Amino acid sequence: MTMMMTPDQFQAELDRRGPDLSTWDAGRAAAARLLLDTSVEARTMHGTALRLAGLLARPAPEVLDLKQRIMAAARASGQAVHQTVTRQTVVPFPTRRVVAPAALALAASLLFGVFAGSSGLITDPFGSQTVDDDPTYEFQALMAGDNYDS
Amino acid sequence: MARAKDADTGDDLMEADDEDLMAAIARGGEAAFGELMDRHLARAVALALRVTRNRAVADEIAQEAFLRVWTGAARWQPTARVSTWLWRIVMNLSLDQMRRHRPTALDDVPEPIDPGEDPEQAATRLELGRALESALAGLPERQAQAVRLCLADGFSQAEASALLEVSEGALESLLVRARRSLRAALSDHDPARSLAGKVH
Repeated sequence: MTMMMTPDQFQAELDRRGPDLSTWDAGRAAAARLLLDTSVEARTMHGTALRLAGLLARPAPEVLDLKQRIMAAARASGQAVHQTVTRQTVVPFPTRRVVAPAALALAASLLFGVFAGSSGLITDPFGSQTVDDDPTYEFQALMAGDNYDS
Repeated sequence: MARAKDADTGDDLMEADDEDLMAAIARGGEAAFGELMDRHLARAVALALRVTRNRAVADEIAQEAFLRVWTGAARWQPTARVSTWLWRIVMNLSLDQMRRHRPTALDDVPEPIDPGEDPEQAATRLELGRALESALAGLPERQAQAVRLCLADGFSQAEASALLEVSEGALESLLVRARRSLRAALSDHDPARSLAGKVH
């Protein structure tokens, strides 16, 4: 059943929603149309609201040429198109396959170095350790460039 | 006329929302960029024109704003509506322009004359137009801004409320009060020519 609307309610709705009944919700629009069919006062209100809307509305500016200029400038910038080209033509670098083994090798060599140093496998060639007591003296002297025969 | 399609997905762009268009633009979709301009370029120009009152400057601002859309689409995050983001860019560029240059006064721009219009009708229209401008000038600033955005330039209430940084309810309240004031102001001008009887 269609709701009823008084002229005062109609005016309040016009102030709230404007005179274009197609933008109102269906129930209110139906009630408004019913009122407009029977009330001269409502038609006067609606006419005034239409006139006000017509005076206020500005025609949308013509922008066809501007759109073409913007599109040309966008093409010249090439930014977004570049992404498409890059995605299609560049072979991705196999980052994980190369970097992970290299990192493992580096870590292993570091561990070996620490182990060799702490276990005495390699001692400091410039250290103050007594030569006579050191079984690796000749090796260390060679590494340090000493002439152990002299 | 052929409907624009997304080059990658084949989707009908006229059915896509603005966020989908942004995703397509980020992939280099010129058709999506064109569709976004069809939806918003005229109002971007209208908004810049509203602030700068200079059509050439308004065109430059709209162009700059849309080129930012084109170049920044890949980085765009959907934290707000695309149109809201766009209006903010346009508004900021317009305000920057205003800081650098003073605008041409609206009163200095002659009213366009329609050669086919009856002189009496033209005179009435001009009189009503002046009365309306006068009434608009008498409105509180926020009401006038709401009227200009929603009733003159066709922004939705959601878009205008985001631009004016008020809730949609507050914007509706501004529009209600403004319509009442304008209606009262115009009732003093030629009430006999009202469109009583015209039903939509």
